[in-house]
Amino acid sequence: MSAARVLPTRVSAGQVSVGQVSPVPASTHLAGALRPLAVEGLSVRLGGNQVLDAVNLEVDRGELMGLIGPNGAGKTTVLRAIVGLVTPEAGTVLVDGRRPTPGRPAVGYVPQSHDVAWDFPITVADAVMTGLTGRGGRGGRSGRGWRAGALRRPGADAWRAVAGALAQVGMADLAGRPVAHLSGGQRQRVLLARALAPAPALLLLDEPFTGLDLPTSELLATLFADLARQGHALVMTTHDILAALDTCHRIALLNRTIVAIGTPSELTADLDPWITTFHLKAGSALLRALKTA
Amino acid sequence: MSPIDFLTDLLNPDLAFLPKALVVAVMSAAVCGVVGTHVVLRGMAFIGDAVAHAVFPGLAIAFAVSGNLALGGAIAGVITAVLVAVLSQNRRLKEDSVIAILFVAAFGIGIVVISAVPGYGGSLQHFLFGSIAGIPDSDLYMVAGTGIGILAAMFIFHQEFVAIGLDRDFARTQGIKVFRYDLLLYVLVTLAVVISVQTIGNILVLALLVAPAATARLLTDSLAAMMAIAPAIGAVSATVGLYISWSWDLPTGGTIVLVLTAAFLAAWLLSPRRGRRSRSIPATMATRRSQKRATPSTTAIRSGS
Repeated sequence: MSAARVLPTRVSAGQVSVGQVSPVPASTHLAGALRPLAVEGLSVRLGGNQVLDAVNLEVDRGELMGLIGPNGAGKTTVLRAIVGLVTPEAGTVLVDGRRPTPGRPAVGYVPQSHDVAWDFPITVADAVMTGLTGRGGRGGRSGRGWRAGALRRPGADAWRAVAGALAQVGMADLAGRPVAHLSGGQRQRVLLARALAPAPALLLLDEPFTGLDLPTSELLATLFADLARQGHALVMTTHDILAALDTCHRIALLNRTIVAIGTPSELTADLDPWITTFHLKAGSALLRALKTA
Repeated sequence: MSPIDFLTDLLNPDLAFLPKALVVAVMSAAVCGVVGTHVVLRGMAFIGDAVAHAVFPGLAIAFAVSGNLALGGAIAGVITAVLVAVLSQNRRLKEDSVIAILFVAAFGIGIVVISAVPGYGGSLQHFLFGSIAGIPDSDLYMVAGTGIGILAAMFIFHQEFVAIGLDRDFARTQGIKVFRYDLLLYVLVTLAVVISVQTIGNILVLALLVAPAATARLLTDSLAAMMAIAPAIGAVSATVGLYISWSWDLPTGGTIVLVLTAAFLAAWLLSPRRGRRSRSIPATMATRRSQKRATPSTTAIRSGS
């Protein structure tokens, strides 16, 4: 895990510099190209609005990065740009040193739970199998292709990958259960297993704690930490700031651009970036919570 | 008329049109049941309605120029389906508005074209409400061939349809061309409609697409079971509907639709998990049932839905 390279620097009274991942030496650039995720100068305009402006972000293997910001800050858009669901206006995204196109290289994307049709009548195992669908072809683009002969049905390798992903998230016992019968926490774990099925180096988690009770959130946080220990790189957007401070190795404060990046202890040592990111007023509950964090 | 009498009539060489009508009705109902599963699960009933109506101008033009009715209907339906898919990409317009505009326009064209044909009254009724008389052998083969093609496509692209139905955005991240598969599904719906129009008619064909699949949804939480139950319900309803209409001299299309509706109501009332009866089952029992269905082994995983 890399140490924090960036903390905001005042450029003029009342103004905080933005998008300031510190200049990376040329040798590091080469290393950065092989990082699970390297985002540079990412700008996105949607419907005439500048949603992201020159976002820089790098994530290493084994690192859990939290992406925090107010509503409309562009957190989800960052993830959607990385997986190719929105087209950037400018900037580059490299996953494992390559520009990602849908399906390759494998990026595990866990969308917000409400984006999924949970009443679709399939089992947990079938839902996880959709994580391998579209990555087919002989041998599979991801090495876990699901095509088996002319009938285009998942083969033994694909089902083994599904079983392995379910075991990773502790859902093996519920493989045959209809997804409509799952609790919120179980649904989140199914989405995580679906993302893990193609064995991606990078996992993108969009608001994984939304709507979950505290014990379930803690369970998931433990799971994310385990995945990081196994060598995955994880980027997680969340509104649960305390959970992020507790779980993430580094946190990026985002409000259209990256305001600051650092370890939780670095970011809680200086609250100015939080004030800038969330437009906080003195005495806000968040500031009080951060001071005691 | 008893079922034995109906069977006797089916075997009567002087009534050769009757078994042909039964075969066409059963095949088209079964195919619509399979395609209708995705129509129901993806909330596409309105699109199905639009395509069903859009087939009409193609039928009318083909009739006016003495061309192949099925081909004319298929072309018109596919053009409308493509237009729906393309125009729906415009975020300023909601999809239902696009569909409504296109399908009434298509139906209007059909009415204008057919009314220009001398003595169109009988033909219009035939198109709109279906007819079991005068189905040529060529139609029988066309329905069988097209039906097999539709089912083959549904089977081959099953995994993609499931992935898109569950989570469209995620499917895009997987490299699945969602727009192309939407188009393919629209075309399959169109073809299913075209082969069904003969017996059930243009206006009521939507019932074949939606009712069996919706009924099956009330009875199961498994997509595979739904795709087996829906065509079975469609085929049985088509047979019973034809029998009733033959026995009491009722319009075939309307009678089949009423049988389908009765099946849906019965499922809604009696379905143990999703129908009204489910409200009388304690929640703990429902939970126990679903837990019983959950199986831990890889063998169970491979069996899929």
